[in-house]
Amino acid sequence: MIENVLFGIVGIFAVFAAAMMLGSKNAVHSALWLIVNFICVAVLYLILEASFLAMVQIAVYAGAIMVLFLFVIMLLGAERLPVGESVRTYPWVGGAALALVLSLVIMLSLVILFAGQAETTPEPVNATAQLRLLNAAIEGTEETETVAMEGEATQPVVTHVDLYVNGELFADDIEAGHATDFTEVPAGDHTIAIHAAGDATPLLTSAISLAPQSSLTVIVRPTADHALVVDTLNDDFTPVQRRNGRVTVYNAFPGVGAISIVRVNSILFDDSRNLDILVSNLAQGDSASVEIPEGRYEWRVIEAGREEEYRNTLAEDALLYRLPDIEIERGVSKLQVLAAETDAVSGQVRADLIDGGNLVGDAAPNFGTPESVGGLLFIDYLLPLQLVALLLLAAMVGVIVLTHREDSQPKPSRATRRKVSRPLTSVIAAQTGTDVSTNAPQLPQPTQDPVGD
Amino acid sequence: MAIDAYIILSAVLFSMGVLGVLLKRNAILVFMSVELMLNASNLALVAFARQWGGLEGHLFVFFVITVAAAEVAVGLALIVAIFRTKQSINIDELHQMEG
Repeated sequence: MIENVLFGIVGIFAVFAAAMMLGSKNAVHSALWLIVNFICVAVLYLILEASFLAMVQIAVYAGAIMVLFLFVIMLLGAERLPVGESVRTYPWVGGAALALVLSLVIMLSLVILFAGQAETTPEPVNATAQLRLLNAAIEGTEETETVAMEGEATQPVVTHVDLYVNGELFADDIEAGHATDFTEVPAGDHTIAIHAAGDATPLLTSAISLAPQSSLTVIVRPTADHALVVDTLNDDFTPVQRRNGRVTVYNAFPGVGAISIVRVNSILFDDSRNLDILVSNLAQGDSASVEIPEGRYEWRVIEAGREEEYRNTLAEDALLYRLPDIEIERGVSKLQVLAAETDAVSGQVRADLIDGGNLVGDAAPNFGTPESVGGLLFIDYLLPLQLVALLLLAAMVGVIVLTHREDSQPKPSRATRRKVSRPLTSVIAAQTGTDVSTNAPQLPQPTQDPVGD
Repeated sequence: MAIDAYIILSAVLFSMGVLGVLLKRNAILVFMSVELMLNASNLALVAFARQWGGLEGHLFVFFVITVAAAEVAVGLALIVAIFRTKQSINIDELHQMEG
């Protein structure tokens, strides 16, 4: 909403500045109004999320180019043209051409606009979706090791898995606690199968349906009795509020049941004022998405239902795990999977957050920043950049050639042709009528003894 | 926000630039009007880039700005050279090339 208001004000001012530029009698005033217009356009660039171009617009256009204009206007003293009759034969031609061009341009833009509106929203050219695998099996246990927990029957524990999509290998040998990157797959229905690493028979199969342009994370998580369950999570790419980051928490921790997570805002003051309940009653296999301000936090996993109690009394028996140092970045969506990890020394199972990595959607949060434009400029468009640099070099040489004055120095050929037939004193004597040669000033004669010898 | 408003603003600014090129008699002002037209087209490019989420439009604007800088340098050098010979930059008086 504020964008529209700002656009209205700045747009009207841009048109006003352009009109003043055309209306000014003094060329210097015209140049200054043009600078105002350029700055208005730079603000419009900012509204359009083109921060890099706004910078370039101010620095190059409003700065360098307009200084050049003002310099030339001042140099030539061309602020005002002398008023006089136009020598054009048909002065109305300009006006007629103007009316023609003006109506043409506006009609063309309207036609383009309405043609664009008549079409339905274009289908994505390649209906693809993104898929990745995150293995949240219990970390730290060796493959095929048998683990007995809480008196359950022993069975092999799988920590490394393969993912097959439609019978083809998609992700090979993914260790517990790790995730693959997103890979493009065609949208539509697929069958996915989870195998123990290197094993030909699938442990689990599941059918998934991928919408175009969506992103799906396949999560493998253990149940309380060490079997594996496959779950899918659609990632949320909708824009995050300014200064916030989004965290999607997925509970893959076996054996505890539902949990709650509180966020500690201050390391120094560990009291209820600084504890925010982030997620409450997150059952195993569920996910919750929250937006929180950027920064580093400590998270605490609390028994479900006791988070208010913990917040008020800091009851230690409600606290299950501490997860220190979780970083939330601005404008970034992040997946955090709460998984179990076996301590190598004590054999205890403790909580661990698997960082699912930052999710970067279609509308990247750094759209139009110098970073993104620079990446494109120096990687994909390096050759055009070099050509433009060459063009600038050629322009520089051209300027030198154009403004170089051949006749500014006396020609050496004329100086050598002139011959002096008479001594200069006699010429002066002939013109003034006095003899200047008699009492001409003499240079002092050098003394005999050389100096410094 | 839809880009309609940006395109119409761009068309209006472009037309004002055309007006300056056709009606102004001071060569420097004609040049400045050309800059106004370039800016209007840049605005349209950035608006379209925003609409379609592609950064190529931004790159194109970057190149346009660079080329405009080169063009201004050469053009102003031409104006200075013309001023030296004719003592005027009124484009009505520069009609030696008429047939």
